[in-house]
Amino acid sequence: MTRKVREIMSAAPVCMAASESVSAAAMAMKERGIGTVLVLSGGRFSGLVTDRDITIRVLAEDRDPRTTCLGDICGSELAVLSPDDDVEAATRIVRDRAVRRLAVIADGTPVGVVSIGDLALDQDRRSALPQIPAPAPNR
Amino acid sequence: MNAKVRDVMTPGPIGVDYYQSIGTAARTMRDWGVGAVLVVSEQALYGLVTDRDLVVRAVAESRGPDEPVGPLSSRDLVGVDADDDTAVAVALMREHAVRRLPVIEDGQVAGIVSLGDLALHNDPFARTGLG
Repeated sequence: MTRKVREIMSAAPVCMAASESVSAAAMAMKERGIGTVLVLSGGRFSGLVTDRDITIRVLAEDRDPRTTCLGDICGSELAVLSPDDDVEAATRIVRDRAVRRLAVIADGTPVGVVSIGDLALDQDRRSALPQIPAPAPNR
Repeated sequence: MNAKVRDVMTPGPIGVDYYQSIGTAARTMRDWGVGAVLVVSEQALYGLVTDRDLVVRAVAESRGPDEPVGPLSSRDLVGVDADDDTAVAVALMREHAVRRLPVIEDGQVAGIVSLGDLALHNDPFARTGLG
């Protein structure tokens, strides 16, 4: 009954170096149809950047996406999950910290992302909502 | 028990003009805490643009923040009546593969309902204020 994070996470996350530009992340989001990239600094997980972060922290602030690097805008939320954590643990962290996405790390390597949507979906697998495809870009 | 679209929508539609800048649209989303704004052209509804659209249709395409936001819009919007059950909104989203619908009341746009609004209404995070 108790499900593990590995069962609900989006696997094979896209990782980029903190020194890479916001433009490069935007292109990756477009090409891969994703909304989150994990940011690595010196090979270690240092945070994540979402499409909304780019809107709020770059476009709304009139910063140049070509010269702003991911390290400058990535969130400071460093709570991470292990693939063997219970889904309940993930739910608790999302709730307590008011975050929408968490990185899943195994042996220091990023292996997935869990979003609030993944958790809601797990909560209500009979719901019609999960059957709505996510077009990219979303409308 | 059946919730109406008006109960879960984000009311008071927030809009930008077609010729306003991408940066202005981003600031509007930030200041209002929303992920999508309506785009208006010559006082008529032209389309809708999301935070993700700004990223994949502008930043990823090397468009600057001073360019007009209008061309980034999604058009051919599908609307839902404010008095419809939320199940109608879900069905429309599924049928048309969209995640946001303008909500119509008395021939005017009264708000936007998103997939997130509908999920939130059903799920355990409803009380956390996450959207």
